[in-house]
Amino acid sequence: MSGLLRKCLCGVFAAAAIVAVLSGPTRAGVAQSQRAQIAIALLINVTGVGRAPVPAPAVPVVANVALRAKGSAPSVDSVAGNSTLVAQQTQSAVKVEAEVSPNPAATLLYSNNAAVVMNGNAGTTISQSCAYQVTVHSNIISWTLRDGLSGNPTSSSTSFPGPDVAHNDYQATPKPTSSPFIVYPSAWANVVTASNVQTYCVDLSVTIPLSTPTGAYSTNAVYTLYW
Amino acid sequence: MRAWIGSCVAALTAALALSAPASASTGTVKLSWYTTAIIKLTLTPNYANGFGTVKATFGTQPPPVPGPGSCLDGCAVDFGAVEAGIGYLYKYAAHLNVSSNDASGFNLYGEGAANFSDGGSNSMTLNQSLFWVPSVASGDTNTGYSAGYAFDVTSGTVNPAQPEPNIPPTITYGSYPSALISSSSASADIYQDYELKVPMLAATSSTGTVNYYCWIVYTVVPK
Repeated sequence: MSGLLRKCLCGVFAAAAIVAVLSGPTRAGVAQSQRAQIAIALLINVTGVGRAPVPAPAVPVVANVALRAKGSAPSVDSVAGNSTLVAQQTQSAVKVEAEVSPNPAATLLYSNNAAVVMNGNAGTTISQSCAYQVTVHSNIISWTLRDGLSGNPTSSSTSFPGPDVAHNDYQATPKPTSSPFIVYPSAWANVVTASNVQTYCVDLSVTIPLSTPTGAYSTNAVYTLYW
Repeated sequence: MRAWIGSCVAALTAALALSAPASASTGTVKLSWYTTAIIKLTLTPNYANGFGTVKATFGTQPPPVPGPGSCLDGCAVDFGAVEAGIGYLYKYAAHLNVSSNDASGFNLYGEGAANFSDGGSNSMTLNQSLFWVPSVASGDTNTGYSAGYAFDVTSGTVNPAQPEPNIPPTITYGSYPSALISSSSASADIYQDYELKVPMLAATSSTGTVNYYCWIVYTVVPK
């Protein structure tokens, strides 16, 4: 009888553990609730195999019409009767609007930099010291900060693994080693458990796989505050 | 289009021989010229049902809610009421249809005419707040955490001067920036969502609610 009870309890705990893992990065623990979340856009411009790293230079803005033969006809500088050959660029604009209201919770968790750009060659490791700072501005005596990537760094055609992006979070002195980012939907990692107001510098390093094609790879580093 | 339309050797000898005196000399002429391509850009904001603002969240997505300045197949990309310090996605923000007779393809540029402004002293830095996200014609699965690319403010000459809420601006380029899209096809359909990461101090208790706007200008140029 006691053996059966033990098996049932084990099953319940196992199921609870599975649910906790699958519930994703928005849960830090049973006793804590998510209080704030921010995302820092990471753009990694890679020069690698494939197409050229920058677009080909645009054609001249002025039409280039050369009539090299004169014969008995008068010289002209345009092609008469061919009025459609005029559009060498065209533009259109859209208005973007937002009605922004104050948010008292906006200062709980914030960064000094909403977008980071890094440039590197495939097969190399690039780094940026204190690429951004993350600040927790709270009077709570015990809070937890977790981080992770929203997805693998992705270009228009492909991606490379998110754990190739590593971070080193510190207040005064960088840690001896960096940690690879965990990628959603895996449960994210604790950055720190601390209290009150704290600011962390984040060093970024990206080991770009050798086979990465040229392109602009984007993802978000997401920070979530719990207590 | 830098297309080599014609490079011909005109053998007019026979015609000249018929019309000219017997002593006239004969010869050949080489005609060559370049011509510009024909290219057309059609921009359609709010291009599909389901357009509008979604707060950035993981998991189940809330329904999109467009702002009052938006309308299907036109108007503005209006995020509506948003909060400082929060991220948002705007679904089905812009459809760009490019058609051209240039087999070499085209470059698409997209830049802000200026930073977000309320027309007064408040502003939001564009490349820290507004991003574009590749999207689709329908069935968009992006979230406010999808990979995005920042819009920069142009270094070209903007007309009219900004901020200007009512007149769509144009940009005159001395040199072009990096392309958003470099297409090797003559024509293409490009779909974009927008992301807005609202800075935490974009609105405060002292400013109250602030109405921001900016213009995104798209330019297509044949290769």
